Amino acid sequence: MKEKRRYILVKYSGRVAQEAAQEFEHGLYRELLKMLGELHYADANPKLAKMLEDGYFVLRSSLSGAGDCILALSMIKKLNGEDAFFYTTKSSGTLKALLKHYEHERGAQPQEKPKTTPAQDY
Amino acid sequence: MEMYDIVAAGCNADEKTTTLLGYKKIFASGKDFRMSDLDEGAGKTGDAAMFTGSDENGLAARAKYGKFILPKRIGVGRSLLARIKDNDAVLCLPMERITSTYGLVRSKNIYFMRKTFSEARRFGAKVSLASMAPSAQFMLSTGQLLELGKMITGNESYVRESIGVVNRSISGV
Repeated sequence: MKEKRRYILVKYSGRVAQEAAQEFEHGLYRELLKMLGELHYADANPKLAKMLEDGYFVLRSSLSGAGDCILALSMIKKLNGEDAFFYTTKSSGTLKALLKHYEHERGAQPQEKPKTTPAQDY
Repeated sequence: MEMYDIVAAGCNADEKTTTLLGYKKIFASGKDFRMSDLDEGAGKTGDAAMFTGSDENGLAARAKYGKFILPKRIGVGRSLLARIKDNDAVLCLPMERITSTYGLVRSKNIYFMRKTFSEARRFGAKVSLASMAPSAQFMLSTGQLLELGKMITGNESYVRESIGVVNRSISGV
């Protein structure tokens, strides 16, 4: 059966340059592993789903491990040797809903779906 | 449900941060309420909304004012809890003790906070769960505070009541 997932919108205290994205991602997994331990990390299965702008990113986890991930993010105060902190602003069951909330928070208007014309009967 | 947080003096809790973190309001010590520290020889209590200190007897005596009590020591005695309950005061459990510590010290703090909470519940005393963040690095969003509260108390509805109604009462409302 498909695993139920949870997407968490996180605000990072710093800025992540594109070239440093992989280093940031690995550093984040290391810190999460330190906080959660091997057993809870396996249960939560966290993964960086999407990097956004202004220090925001989306963390994907299992439904049962979402609480643990939020807890771990509140306790992480250092990343790759530098002071850092994370605020979890929203969590959702779908990435689409979370991104919609993110766009709304940033003030951008959500794009309207183009209306398809119905097929004409000849 | 509206949620409120309480932070220490020096923590900048502006409107933008409050909205970002999901709170209705964040009460800052020194700005929105006065904290009286008994260890620094605080004299007249006056209009202090929160009392803190290491001496439990001193805190128990101040509990009669029915305000917030923030013990500096991790473990809290039963006599203090009984006085807090009798005077309808509030015991404040700061999450900063968990977020600002590491390793074994953090584990010990979690253990003692859980123990203190269960004792306080047994006595029927009101408990406030707040970040008491000294800076932005230790501030918590509503989701994070809820999860930390659930870890300490094991009861989500109690945590919501504590972060909502109980924390709001520091403003006198």
